[in-house]
This record gives sequence, C-alpha cells and structure tokens, in this order.
Amino acid sequence: MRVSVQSFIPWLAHLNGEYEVPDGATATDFLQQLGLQWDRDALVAINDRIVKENDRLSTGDRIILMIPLTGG
Amino acid sequence: MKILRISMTDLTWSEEELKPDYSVLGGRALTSRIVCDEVAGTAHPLGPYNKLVFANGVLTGSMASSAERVSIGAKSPLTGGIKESNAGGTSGIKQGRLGYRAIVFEGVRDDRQIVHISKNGVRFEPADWICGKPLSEAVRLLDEKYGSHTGVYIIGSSGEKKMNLAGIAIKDKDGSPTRFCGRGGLGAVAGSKGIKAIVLDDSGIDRSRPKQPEKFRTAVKKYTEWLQENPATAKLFPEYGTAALVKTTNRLGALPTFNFKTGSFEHHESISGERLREVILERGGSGTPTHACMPGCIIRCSNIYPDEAGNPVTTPIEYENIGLLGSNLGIGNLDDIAELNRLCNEYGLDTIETGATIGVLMEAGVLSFGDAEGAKQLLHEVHAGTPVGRIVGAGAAVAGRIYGVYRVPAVKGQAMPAYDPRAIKGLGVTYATSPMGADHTAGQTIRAQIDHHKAEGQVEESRKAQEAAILFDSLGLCFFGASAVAGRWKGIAEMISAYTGEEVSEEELYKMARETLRIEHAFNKSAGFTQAHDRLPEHFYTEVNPASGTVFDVKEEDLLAIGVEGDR
Repeated sequence: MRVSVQSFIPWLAHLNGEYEVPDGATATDFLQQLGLQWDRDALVAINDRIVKENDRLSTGDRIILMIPLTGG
Repeated sequence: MKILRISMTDLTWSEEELKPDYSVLGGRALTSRIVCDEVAGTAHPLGPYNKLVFANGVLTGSMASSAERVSIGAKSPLTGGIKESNAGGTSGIKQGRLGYRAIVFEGVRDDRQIVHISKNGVRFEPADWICGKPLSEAVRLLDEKYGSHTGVYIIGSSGEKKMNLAGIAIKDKDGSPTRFCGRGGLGAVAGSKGIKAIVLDDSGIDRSRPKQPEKFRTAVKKYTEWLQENPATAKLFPEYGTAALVKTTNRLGALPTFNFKTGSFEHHESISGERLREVILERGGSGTPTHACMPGCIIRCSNIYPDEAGNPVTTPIEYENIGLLGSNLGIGNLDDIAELNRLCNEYGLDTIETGATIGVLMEAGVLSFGDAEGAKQLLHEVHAGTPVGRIVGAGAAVAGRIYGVYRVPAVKGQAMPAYDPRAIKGLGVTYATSPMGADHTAGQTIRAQIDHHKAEGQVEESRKAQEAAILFDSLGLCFFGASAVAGRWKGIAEMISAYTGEEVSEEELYKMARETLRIEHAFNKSAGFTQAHDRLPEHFYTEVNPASGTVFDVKEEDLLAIGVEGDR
C-alpha cells in the first residue's frame, strides 16, 4: 500500500513524499523504515490524529511528523 | 547549606541551618514547603504576612548542564493561591556559592531597597536611583556600582507598582536581565516588600563542589550523553529554540489566535521557528539562533534577535512570546513580536500574562487584532502607570471583568500559555487542576504520543506530567532536558546522591514530587479554593475551536480526582 509523509521537522523535510509499505505495517514499523526511532525522533500523526505505536497504517494515509518537544 | 532570613520591615537578617527534613528539598519543593509551613492561606499576598522565597534547586551550582535554575515562591497576588516560578541565568549559581539553599524575605515596607548579599553579610541601600528605569539600564547602573560579576534579582517598573503581571528578572550569562521568574505576579510581592533588587556578590568564595567527586563525574557524564544523543536537546533546541513548536501547534489547532478564538493562524509561517532562524542568520551581527542562558548549558535554547542592522533587539524570542504576543493578538511580524518582548523585558512583565491581557482588550474592542503599535503603546501605559496601563497590569482576568469580556483565557486568575486546551487536552487538565493556575510548566503533555484531541487518557498524562514538572523544578534542572532524561530518574538520583553526599533514591524523588503537590493543594484549600476553581472558563466547554474541531470535554469527575479536593 502507499502512504505519504509530511514533515514539520526542519531536518526531516527530505522525508516528504510517497512511500510503499507492507500491508499490516504499524506506525513503529514505518518509522523504522524511515530510519527513525519511535517516541524519540518525532511525534507521529496519521491523518491529523496522533497515533499509538501499534496502530496500523492503511493505504492513502498521510503521516505527519511533528516536533517532539516538551518545552514551551 | 543554610537559609538566609531577611526582614524587610526592620532591615535585619539572620542565618539558620537547613532543617534536616528540608535537606534534599530544593526549588519548587522548598519554596512551597516554606510557604506552606510559614504563610497562612488567608494572608494577603501584598501584606506583611506573606513571604517571598528564593530557593535553589538541589543541583543548582553543581555545574551539570542545564541545572542552574532557581525558584521563587510566595502566595500569588494574581491567583490568590500558592505560586512558584523558576528561571535560569546566573543568580542561582551565585546564591549557591554564598551558601544559601533559600533566601526568605518577610515583612513589608514603603520605600525601595537594594539588598546586597556577600560573604561579609547583608547590607541595605536605598534604590531610588535605579527605580523607574528600564531594566537594562537599571542593571547597567548596578553593575557599575557593584561589579558585573554579581548576580541580580530585580523587578521592573511594573513590580514597583505592585502589578499582578510583574515578574522578577535574573541576568543571563552575558549580563542581560532577561531571564524571568515571570508567572504569578511575584514581582508585585517583591515590590510590596520594598525589594527593588537583590545583588549577590560571590567574590572570594569558591564554587560548590560535589561531596563524592568521582561518583558525581560518572553520573554527570551519563546525563550529558543523554543530552547529546537526544534530537530535541542536541539539535532542535540549539538550532530553533522552542519556537520550533509553532508549525506543530498550528497543525494541531493549538496555536492561540485572536484571544484563543481559534488554534491556527494564517500568518504562522512568518512567525515560525524556521523563519525566526532564517531572519537571525540573514541579519547576522549580534544576532544568534543558539544562545545559552546559563553557563555550561549545552541545550542553548535561547537566541538573540537582531534588527536589520544586526544590533540586538531582545532575547529570547520563545514559543510562548510568539504565541501570546503574536498569533493571539493577530500579529504576524517577528519584528513587532520582538519589540513587544523587549518592552515586556524592560518593564519587568510576564510576557504570557501580558499577551493574554492585550488579547482580552482586543476582544473588548479597545484596540483591534493585529494592531501592533496599539499593543506597544499599551505597554508604555503599563510602565507609566496610567489608568489603562493599570488595567493591563492587573492581568487578563481582572481586565476581562473591567471590560465585560466573556472569553477570558485564564484559570484561577492566571492566563493560559500558548496552547489551546481544546486541542491539547492534557494541558487543559493541567490548567484546570494545577495549584498554579493555567501554566504549561506545571504539567506539559504536548510531547505525549497521545491523541491530543480526544478526552481519553488525558487526566493520567497530566497527572504524570505534573509530578515530573515538580521533579525538574525542585532539582534545578531545566525542563527542556525532559526528552533526554526520558524518565530515567535513577540516573538523576545518582547525580544528586553524589553531589549532596546524601543517598537519594528514585522512589524518594517521586515521593517528594507527590508530597509537594499535596501540600500545594492543601495551601490553596486553606486559601479558599474549591472544586469550582478546578475548571476551565465556560466557553472552552461549549465553543468549538474551529482549527481542531473540538471542545474541552474531559469528564469533570475525572478532573476533580487530581484537583484541590482530589485524592490522587
């Protein structure tokens, strides 16, 4: 299936684009595919909803990578 | 370590040893403990029975990275409850070298004093010659007289006028008085006690040393590696600062816009962290996107914002300034935000409360959204103490009542920081239930990998975040290291044990955090707070945030479990 990525993290802007992922892939699996570590490198939303690590991707999903900041 | 006790009524002072049960308390845990032990909940915040406590974190002075923060606490004139606000800069290090874990000010007076503290003791001098001046000038004059090596706590013209949004400033490592214990009107408490400035002269005193140097070195090395390995602390904060959050919160519908009417701003790109970095680098000169407020900090989240000629305008431009002085006011220009921030710094104002208050006045039609010049003029009015300046100086809640405004983004009298609680619902829980009023530093949940738009799980996230915030704020650690520490409190406990020579466990740290929260709620209860205060303003429950499509809908019975009359 195909999904797309939009990064709001400046140094991960090169990840913007479309990806082919295996059926049944989870959010964590996909992050690994991108070379990122779950719960460290990005806050991850799918279709504007922040997801849990085992949430599964569906075809056409838009994955959004957001700044993993605790500060303000 | 000792406690220095100063009576501002009599201008006398005394020292006492830190009580055994205070020995591993610092920062917020210690300010709250002293306030709870010594101030009645019914005391008037600006009266003789309130106390103003300056407490170092347990690790402050240890020279571990990002661990030099100091907390100031008192009963707040803004909220009417207990308050702690902390900052980095250089004063905590100086206070620690002087041997004081805490300095406690008592009493009130009508004139204003400079309190000079050195190894020779405490002396008091009239402060008239620096009163009414912008803080940069006042501190320049203090440096000329007492030496630029000194640390300073100082209030601006707003604190002299005992305004609710007055903070207390601290010099950064470059001597600029721009690090603020901003929240809760603690500058007004200082003003009521006649404290214009506290000068900390540590000449002739060696730096604080760890009790177990080898063990401490090992623990600090591990902690430093965490900071160097984590993307947030190693890359994000140094390059973009907290302003990096703008695009993320805008996307989540949480960037306060037009007095929190909505959570996204059409001009957010022009005030984003990315744009901020570009402008600073393009202009060059004295500007820098990477700047440390404390000596030895490797996170370096601060920045210096230059004008077009490269001359410094202000420091730092942070996410909160951008949110409250920018999008919340419909202002989409970084130069305007920088100037508003500069004026807040010069007059000693909490930028969050100030931005929220001007937003309320814009809602009331006193000036229009987007009117940057009008906003700047209001800050001059605050400085001058004109009637409208006094209204702004009273904070958002009071200004809202005076102008008959329904939508006032404040809880327990304190304005919300730059996260719409309908879009980051865990923070909404924190705003509602924290003893501090609406305050992101009291329990930040935006980092949680949770659906921020849903009610489920938010109370638990907030509870955990509220406890974690107390840990950071009591140890002197900057909360911006939280991503790197990532809950590894055992390692932090090892650092504390080696530094203080007293064995502290991870469990004891958590117990300290929970106990601090418990006594703070108990104080507020004695000050008259009830479950009715553990709520957001009504309209957040009923009016949809168009950007997130949500209202605040966390169940009230769940909220109340961790509030002032809760049992968790």
